[in-house]
Amino acid sequence: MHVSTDPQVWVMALCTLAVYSYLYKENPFWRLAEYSLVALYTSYQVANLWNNYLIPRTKTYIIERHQYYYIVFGLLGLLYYFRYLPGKLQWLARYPIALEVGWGLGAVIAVSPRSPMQQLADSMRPLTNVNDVIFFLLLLTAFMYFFFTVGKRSPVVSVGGKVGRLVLMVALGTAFGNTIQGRISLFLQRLSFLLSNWLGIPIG
Amino acid sequence: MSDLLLFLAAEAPKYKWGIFRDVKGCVFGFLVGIALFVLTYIMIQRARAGLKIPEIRHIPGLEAFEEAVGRATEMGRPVHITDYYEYMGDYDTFAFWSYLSHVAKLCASYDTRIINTNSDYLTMVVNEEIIRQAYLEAGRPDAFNRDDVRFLSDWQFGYTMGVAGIVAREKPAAQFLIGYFYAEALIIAESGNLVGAVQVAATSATAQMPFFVAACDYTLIGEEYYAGAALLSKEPVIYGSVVAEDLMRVAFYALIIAGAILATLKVDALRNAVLF
Repeated sequence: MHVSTDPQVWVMALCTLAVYSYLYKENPFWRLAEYSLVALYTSYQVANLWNNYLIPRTKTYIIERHQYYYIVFGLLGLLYYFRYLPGKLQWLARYPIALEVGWGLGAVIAVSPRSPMQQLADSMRPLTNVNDVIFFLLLLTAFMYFFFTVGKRSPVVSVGGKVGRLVLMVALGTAFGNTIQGRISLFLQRLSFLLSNWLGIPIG
Repeated sequence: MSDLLLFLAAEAPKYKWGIFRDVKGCVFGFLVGIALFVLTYIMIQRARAGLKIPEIRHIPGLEAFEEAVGRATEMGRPVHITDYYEYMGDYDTFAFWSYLSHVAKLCASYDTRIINTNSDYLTMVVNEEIIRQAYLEAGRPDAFNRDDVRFLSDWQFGYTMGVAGIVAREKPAAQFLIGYFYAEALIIAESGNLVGAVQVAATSATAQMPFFVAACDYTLIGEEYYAGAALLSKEPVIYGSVVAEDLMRVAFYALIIAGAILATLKVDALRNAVLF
């Protein structure tokens, strides 16, 4: 057994233990890890935005290329901060919000309808073997579960929907087991780090 | 010079019918988009005019919102609602806002504290406006607390740790996890379980549904999430959109059956048309 003398390994190990201590209860070690992680990433993001976006864009686009319309977008962005002002000017913050929401809707409409077409075409499989027949039947019933307006009183849709719910639960259960296995492997990776890299206990 | 050579060497982009990019399903997708647009317009107009349109069926789990907020009120503990990383351009965000508005109105009318945690700073601004508006409508603008609408981090696990910490400290009696989630879903849901919160989840993220089904008291899955938003908001625009979408879903259903039968008969015309 040879305990690591590398300070970086010690920081990693103690942070790992601090995070896992949440499983016992919320405590000062967990809080230290939580605040450190949130603060580190937020400060990193501020520096990143300042150095890689704000300053280069101002220098390159506005000063060097004279693309002054960037100033308009900058000013629009600044309007977000008006919501922190006291008094009657707060409503100005709604303009960039409205623009952002409008842009979002437009972008979604532009790209949405095309992508499910491949899925639709892949569902049209020839019913020539057992696998495809089972796939077809399960697809139809699972699909039926998501009928919200059509055939509300129809027994076919009602029974189909109930079967569909079972199909979905089986699929979700499979996915659950699969992901839990992945999570266990992540945990084992951490455990291996603590035992082997930190405490120097030879494993496996 | 090298740019010019590259430009000359580049192949001209291909187009179908001169206007559609040469991508599978582009033309059919466009036609579906037009059909959906017309259908949605008709349904919204009919809903606005109070004319008859198909009704959305009952969705189990929607009543749980009031039940959960009521429980928080009785226990004198806050309500926590989050959508993880919903950005402005995401349709899940628009659905989330219906839920947020509904929960905020319930909290405002019951005088229960609502905490909203965010991973996107722009969406947070809109969330804050929605909650403020709910308090205004309830006649309690002074009860609105801006500090309860919080931005944590736009890094997934920074946000997750932040939420887990807030949930452990504030001990909400009800937690609503609404939106598109990723690997943080189970961690947040389990942190809610640890403090004994009633949890309602609604998500269209297929990969995270199993975790919500396992860890939450009520879960709305897939399209239920959007239909639930329509039922809660009772807005003709959202209601009409969901009805139109459902009619289109039935049309797709018929297409799949027809396509499978034709494919069995070795006729690929429909499949090719869909991919055109």
